[in-house]
Amino acid sequence: MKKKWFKNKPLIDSITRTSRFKILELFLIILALYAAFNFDKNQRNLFSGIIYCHTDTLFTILFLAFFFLTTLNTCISFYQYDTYIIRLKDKKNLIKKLISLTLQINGLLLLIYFIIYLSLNNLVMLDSYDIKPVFDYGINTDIYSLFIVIKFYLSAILYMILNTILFVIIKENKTVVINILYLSGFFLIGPNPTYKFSFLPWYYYHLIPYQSFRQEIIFFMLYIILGIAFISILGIIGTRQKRGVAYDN
Amino acid sequence: MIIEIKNVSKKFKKTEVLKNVSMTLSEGTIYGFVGHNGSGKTVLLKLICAFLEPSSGEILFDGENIIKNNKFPPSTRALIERPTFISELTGEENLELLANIEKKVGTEEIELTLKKVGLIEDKDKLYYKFSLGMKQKLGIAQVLMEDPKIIILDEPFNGLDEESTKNIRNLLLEEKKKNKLIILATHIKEDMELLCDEIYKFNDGVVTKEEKEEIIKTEEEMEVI
Repeated sequence: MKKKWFKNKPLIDSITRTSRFKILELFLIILALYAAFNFDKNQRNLFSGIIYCHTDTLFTILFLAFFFLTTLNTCISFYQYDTYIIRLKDKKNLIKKLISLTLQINGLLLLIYFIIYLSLNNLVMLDSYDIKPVFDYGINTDIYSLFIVIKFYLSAILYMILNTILFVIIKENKTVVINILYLSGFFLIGPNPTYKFSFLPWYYYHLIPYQSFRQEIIFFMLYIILGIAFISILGIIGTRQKRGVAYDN
Repeated sequence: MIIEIKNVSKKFKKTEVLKNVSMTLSEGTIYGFVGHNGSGKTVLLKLICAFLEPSSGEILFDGENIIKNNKFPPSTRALIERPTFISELTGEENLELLANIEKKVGTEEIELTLKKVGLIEDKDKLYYKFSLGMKQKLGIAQVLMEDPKIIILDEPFNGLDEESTKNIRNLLLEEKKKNKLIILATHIKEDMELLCDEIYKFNDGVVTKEEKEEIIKTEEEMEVI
């Protein structure tokens, strides 16, 4: 991983130095500020704040939109390096390279965001670390907030990979349309506790009580496994697509 | 290596920029693609590199349809339009970055290529400090450094002074002697005269094979007008 990072470093530096990317970095700070001040007024403490923020619809939309834009920007910037691309031999390598670049760039941004968010959140909450029980799960907000954070970021990583593959397969404009439709879905599909497994990705960003914490973990793991399977199939379609490795039309 | 272009057409939305193009290109030859701006030369070069997909027809490399097989053309290096390099790296570092993908060549070959194109003294200069001519030379260096079988150059002499142009022309003739297949998109009469063995004329998407002498004569007449 370390070796891969250094191999991609010149490309990452080059992509992240553009003025477009600077604007996105500014948006990241605004997002972290919004997240830090987005908490439940009735339960003002660090752990409840994390849970509240990471299950809030508007925050989720802004967060995913941000990482969609950075993914799109990375793909567009990389496609300018035709001298690099022609050496990748085939489309499979192109997809692999793009995924590694988007994950590294977005991973770095995610880390910066999380550091800013946690620092600000600590300040806003004024050292309030009280823990409270969550639903009838038999666990407290400290454990649940950790689960929510893992759940949220794992889903976001899948979303980034999915968008990278979509960019290669259906190009920029269609990827933008699909993402607008997907993000609009958050307004249509709200939290709806059914205690049943759902394929719909929107559910996993909402705060929905399940029968038990164990059931929530199992359903989420199942969702992630299915998500990985779906992305893998899409990746295979992408590499076998008879449209060629074209990217400029 | 043989490239067969069979009935290739390319449309962008409703505009057809290449119309039913067919040609066979073989090694040990320099092919000149000539035509005015927007005549479809660069589009065909991009199609050959698999950067674009044909709307119809096929391009075969030794009988293999690489676009259908989701590959980039084998042993092919290209300089199309403006070269894209990383501004914050030196010329040599940029070449190292590219060479590290296939790991066919090391520092020795890179420096030798820089020397050949006349950039060895500027190898440690950052790319963003390069002049237009230096950028073009680095673009040509990345094409030549890995000893590819197919060389594709789109207006390679843009921004080069007379001496550098002469040097690069000689380099291309040396490459031809090594049995390379070279495609050169150009509008310069001297390039056609001195370098090209066969010439294809592009006119609003229609490509025709022309006699070299005929094309040069026409160009001369145009200059007089």
